[in-house]
Amino acid sequence: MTTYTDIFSKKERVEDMELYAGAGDVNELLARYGVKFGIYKNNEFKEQLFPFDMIPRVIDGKEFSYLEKGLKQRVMALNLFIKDIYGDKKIVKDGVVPEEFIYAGSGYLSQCEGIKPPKDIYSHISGIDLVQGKNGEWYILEDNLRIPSGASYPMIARQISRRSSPDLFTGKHIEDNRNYASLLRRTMDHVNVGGHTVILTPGRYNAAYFEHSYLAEKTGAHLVSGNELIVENDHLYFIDYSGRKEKVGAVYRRISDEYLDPMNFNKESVIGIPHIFDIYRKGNVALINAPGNGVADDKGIYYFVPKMISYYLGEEPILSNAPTYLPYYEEDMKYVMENFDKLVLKDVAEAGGYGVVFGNKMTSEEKKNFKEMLRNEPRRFIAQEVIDFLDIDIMEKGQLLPRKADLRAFVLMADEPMVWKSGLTRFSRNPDSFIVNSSQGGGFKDTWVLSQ
Amino acid sequence: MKKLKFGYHMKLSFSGAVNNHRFSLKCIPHDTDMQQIKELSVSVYPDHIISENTDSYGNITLFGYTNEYHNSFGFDVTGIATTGLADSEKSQELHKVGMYRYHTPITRPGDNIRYFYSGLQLSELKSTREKALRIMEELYSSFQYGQGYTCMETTAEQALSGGQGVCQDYAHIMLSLCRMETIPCRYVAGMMMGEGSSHAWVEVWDEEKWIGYDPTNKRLVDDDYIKISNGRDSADCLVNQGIFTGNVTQTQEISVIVEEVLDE
Repeated sequence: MTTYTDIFSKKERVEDMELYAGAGDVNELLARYGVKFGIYKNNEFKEQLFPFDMIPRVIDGKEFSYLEKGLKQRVMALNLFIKDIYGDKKIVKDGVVPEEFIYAGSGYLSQCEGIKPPKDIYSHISGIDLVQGKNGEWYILEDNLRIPSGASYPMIARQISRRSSPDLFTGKHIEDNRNYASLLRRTMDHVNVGGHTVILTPGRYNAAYFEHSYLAEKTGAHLVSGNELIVENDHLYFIDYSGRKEKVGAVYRRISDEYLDPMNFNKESVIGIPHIFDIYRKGNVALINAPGNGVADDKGIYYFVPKMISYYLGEEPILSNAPTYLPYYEEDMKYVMENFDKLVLKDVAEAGGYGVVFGNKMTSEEKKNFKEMLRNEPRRFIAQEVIDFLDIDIMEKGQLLPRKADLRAFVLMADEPMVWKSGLTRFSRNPDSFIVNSSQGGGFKDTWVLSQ
Repeated sequence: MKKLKFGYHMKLSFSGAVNNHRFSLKCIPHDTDMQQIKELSVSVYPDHIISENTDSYGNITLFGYTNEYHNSFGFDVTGIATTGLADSEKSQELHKVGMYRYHTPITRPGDNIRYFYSGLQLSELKSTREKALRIMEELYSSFQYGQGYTCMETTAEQALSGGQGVCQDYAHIMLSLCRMETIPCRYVAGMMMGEGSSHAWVEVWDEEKWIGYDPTNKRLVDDDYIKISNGRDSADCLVNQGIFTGNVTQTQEISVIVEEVLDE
């Protein structure tokens, strides 16, 4: 197991890091570049800085190539699963995934039945969240196959750190992470059915607006909003500044399924494009990622991913899930009831670190109520063993402090799956918290993958 | 077997002029095991750009838009349907019709439907057919036909608690009850012999066949019926859906005529 202490000298660790991090140089620059994320709180939109910690997470080349293999395998299986669910449904027929986990969840969209997206790719960009246990073992925590965000943060942080602290990078064999843009471009071009490539943003009041504009700039795609796109005669057009219509062949849309097309999904949506889904159905535009992917990244479906890998690929899963129990199954329910205090319970319908409760943090009254709710709605929750996270150091006011962190790895699917040799490391600033989501006030680090 | 001449006319009138009108129409009956459509004629007004597609549920969808200012929008669909070619439609296997087995926001039961369901005592019946017939008969005798009590968005639960409604409500309540029994079933929009409005009924999955039940009239679907579309509930079968620019009120008129053509 490699950490930053293996590649930085003691002086670098103690004096230089302090110098760079303590001075707040990079954070200041990030703020100036507008590296922010927005959150809605009490109906008000607020932009927050996403605090950056100078000390990188370091993963050595050998370890990363193991992760890479496992991530590719997982994303291949997830893609095949989505294709199967909106097509033949063999995995349901063969009883590997119970039907109700598909249709009773909110991720399945009946509108997507029978659609074949360009090149059979559903999850073009997957954000797979992992954690490392104290034993060095990596576990998959969550698959994000809808609109996973976050790649832009380590990209720009690396760029700025290199500029402000070039010495830190000298003599270290780090994989360059600036190639994310070219991986993304390759992914978009691969499915483009002819025409421009655009990145569709809901606008500047979206939590990830910085990322939309940054990725557009770096990939050379047009950044557009819904009112700049129009469906006409079975094709999608971008209306340029002079009013001319240019055909669009691929849309990396950063708008959720629900708001994508008021004629096919939420009728109230004013940020979507009427009838875009109808021409997507006809194969006349690529939507990145495909609508309906939510059927595969539901917390309830997570339990079945290792089974999918064996089912579709005939392989043993390389990367493990965190040990997970599904109270839907009688024996798992029994285990959960008996071992309640050592488990974390997650509501399958919630995201962003919400709806997560720890058995041992409840009062006996809360426990009683929760257990009753669990018996009444067994499909609503999954239970997991609490993983003993490997803490990683952050620098705060010149002090090194251990904190919980996860890693979002990005897997892009073009003619083959590609794993970006970096990733977003998020940490919890609160020493007692296991929840690292940016919407809950966490910070981030760069992730250095060593080339040897 | 019958030969039915049909005409389906829909007109939306706006209180002022509108433009940028985008629409999706599901108004065209298509060939099934039970019916064959001939001499089909479809006209949509005013002038527009239009495309055709088939949706996830197998329905023909017309979608398009018009940019010119207009005070009314509508379509006329006419043709001849040969009906009663079979007494049911062939279906895919059970694992492929799963989406029709689960509730939608419109069919999700509340206390009233649960109470009604428990009174049906369906557990004493064995076959899907017996269950569907009992649901249809009991619903027919407890729910009153009446216009103006419900609207397009009324859920099955709301309709049943109000006690009165139209064919769409009968269909939604029956769907809700069948799904509580985990029987796959779907909503059907269509036309029926006679003069008046469009009609709605239910198809119940039974041993890889879709059998039509009409709870509004307590009868099985036969050669008096022409199907236009099907889906999980009425929202999948909206005959007309649109968005436009203009601050106006709108009224919709629908008139449907279906009459038998007798060969000389």
